[in-house]
Amino acid sequence: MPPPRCYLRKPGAIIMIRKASIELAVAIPAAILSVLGALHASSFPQQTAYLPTTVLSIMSLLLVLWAFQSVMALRRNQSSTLILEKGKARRFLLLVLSTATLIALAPALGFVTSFFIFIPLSGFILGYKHWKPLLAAGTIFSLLIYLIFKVLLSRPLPPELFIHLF
Amino acid sequence: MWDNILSALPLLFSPSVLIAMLVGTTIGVFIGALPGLSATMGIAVLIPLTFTMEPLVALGMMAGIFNGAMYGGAIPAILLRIPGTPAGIATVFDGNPMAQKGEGLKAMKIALMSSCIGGSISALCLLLLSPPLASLALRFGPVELFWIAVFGLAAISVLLSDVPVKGLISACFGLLIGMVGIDSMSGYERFTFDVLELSSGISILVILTGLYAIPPALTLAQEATLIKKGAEANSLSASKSKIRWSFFIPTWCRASIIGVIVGIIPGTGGNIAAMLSWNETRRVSKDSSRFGKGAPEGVAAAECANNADNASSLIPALTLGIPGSSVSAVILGGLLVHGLQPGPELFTQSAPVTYGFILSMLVTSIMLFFVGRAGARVFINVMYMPPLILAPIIIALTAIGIYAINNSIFEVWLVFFFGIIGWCMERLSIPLAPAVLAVILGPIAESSLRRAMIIGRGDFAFLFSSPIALVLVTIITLTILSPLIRRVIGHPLLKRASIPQSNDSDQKKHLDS
Repeated sequence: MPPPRCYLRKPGAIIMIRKASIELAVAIPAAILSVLGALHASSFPQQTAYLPTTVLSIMSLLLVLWAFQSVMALRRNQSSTLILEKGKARRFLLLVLSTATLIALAPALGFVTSFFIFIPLSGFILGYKHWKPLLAAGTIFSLLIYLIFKVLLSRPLPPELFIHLF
Repeated sequence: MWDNILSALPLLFSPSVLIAMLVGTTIGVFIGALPGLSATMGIAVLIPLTFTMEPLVALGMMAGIFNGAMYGGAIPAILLRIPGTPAGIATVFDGNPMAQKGEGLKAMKIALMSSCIGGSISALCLLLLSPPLASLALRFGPVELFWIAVFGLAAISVLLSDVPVKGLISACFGLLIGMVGIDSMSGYERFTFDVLELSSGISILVILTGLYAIPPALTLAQEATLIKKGAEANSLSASKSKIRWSFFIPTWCRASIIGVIVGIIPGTGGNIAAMLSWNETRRVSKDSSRFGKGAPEGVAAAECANNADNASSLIPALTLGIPGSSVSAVILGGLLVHGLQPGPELFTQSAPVTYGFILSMLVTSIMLFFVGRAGARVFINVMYMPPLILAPIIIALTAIGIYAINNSIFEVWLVFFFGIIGWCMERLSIPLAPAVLAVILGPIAESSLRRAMIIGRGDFAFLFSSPIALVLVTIITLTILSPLIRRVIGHPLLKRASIPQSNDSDQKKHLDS
């Protein structure tokens, strides 16, 4: 059987990073934060401080150990490689940004109105260029949300902009 | 026990619960059939939406998703050589060669029947094994409860990650998140940084949906694997030969036992159960050379075992409050949301709902057969749903689900924040389950420790005073040292099994622009 056909476009630029380098870059600041957290927790009253101080102290040690393991992996050249493709990174960032915009605007526009805009627009900017399915998905989903949350469950949601407009 | 089962039956067979189970099973198969989505994500997204429902309606839906998703993973595994869920990996070995021979529909029928049988046997084991274990656990005092919580954390942190340090870091992160807010015993605020919304702590729902629902959506958009329709056409041109079901009985028995045992062990999961079962079936077969080339028993073994793992993984979760896998951790979160505290008290204080939930695992396993047969063609089409539409839908559903609980946009931001953290953790191979488990077990461990210290008048030796505590401390030590022990003894069982390679790189191509 031939493999299933996929939509494929030209691969974007590729950046290769050693995973241990990223781990080291995460572990060191996290260890510093953890030590600061342990110091902060030690200022709590005795009974309240006991568990946070213990957990943060153990976490600091574990993070130092993780950093050490990463350094060893880099020195021995044993680290695996993370491949960052431009297209993938772009889609990830676009979805993160559009989600942040959705959360920021939803209380003002209303959830149903926001979803009606968010779903087709996000799909489009992510690379799905078929308007009909995008609009259909946005409309059906927004309608279902309205029916479930407003009509069926009667949840108090922010006022919808489309109700004010029409 | 029988009285409790009888009292749960009217609740279970009420129309709302039956509809919820049917809907849950159907959604579960849909989710499982979509590569990249799992039962864990499905339940995490669903929990906030079920917040206003009756507990058994919500739990019945979760049971349906759990069982349905495990079978749903077999559909793309058989037809496209892409496992829909991690537990579907072993199904690829024989399922896809069957599809290549034009026996795709036959492989799907075998997978469906095997999933139903595995799921049903597992649910019966949950029903019969949990009550005695719970009554034993009821005798535990604060010392034992503290060590059980530590054991749960140690087991899942060490066993779920290739690098135990990462598992333990994840557990510490979860414990820390669980401490945010006003300390219930002293009234002192911890790690709130004067943010009013944090003073009541971070809800388990926020953690669950953040860590389990957002990262798969981000990954779906990032990978953008689009499969063009028609790929399965040749696989389904089925030969109409009758399936001799009696031939599979020994395989089902073996796979069910393996699945149930693996499910009970913390830190394992459906993928390990399916792999072990497939390997064992091949080992005992008279002609093992057929395996990996389209042996129907291979499909039966893998699918029966991964569904047999489902309910049995809830045995330690329901009786001791220790989930053995990420999906059971999410279900524990679901129980907490509906006011049910996981642990032995579930079987006394909330017996009708608890037994109703256990029975719903059995009913949804049977229901799966009818849903799978009736909707086979529809479920095949689900695989082609564009991920670039699906990803924003998952995010939108998560956002409104969380908002609708407390009308708090702050919690939606928190979910988003935890989602990005979860995505980063996945990229760095840091397991998510220890963090979630720590949020659940942290408060139990802390309150048990404080009670033990009060009873023991501040003497730490009191923590080692009972024989059960000493046994638990020994098990914890062995668990933490297990990676070292494994390295000394030799390779784990799985490495010995020569498993056919499934190279799906030619199928998973991504969209770049």
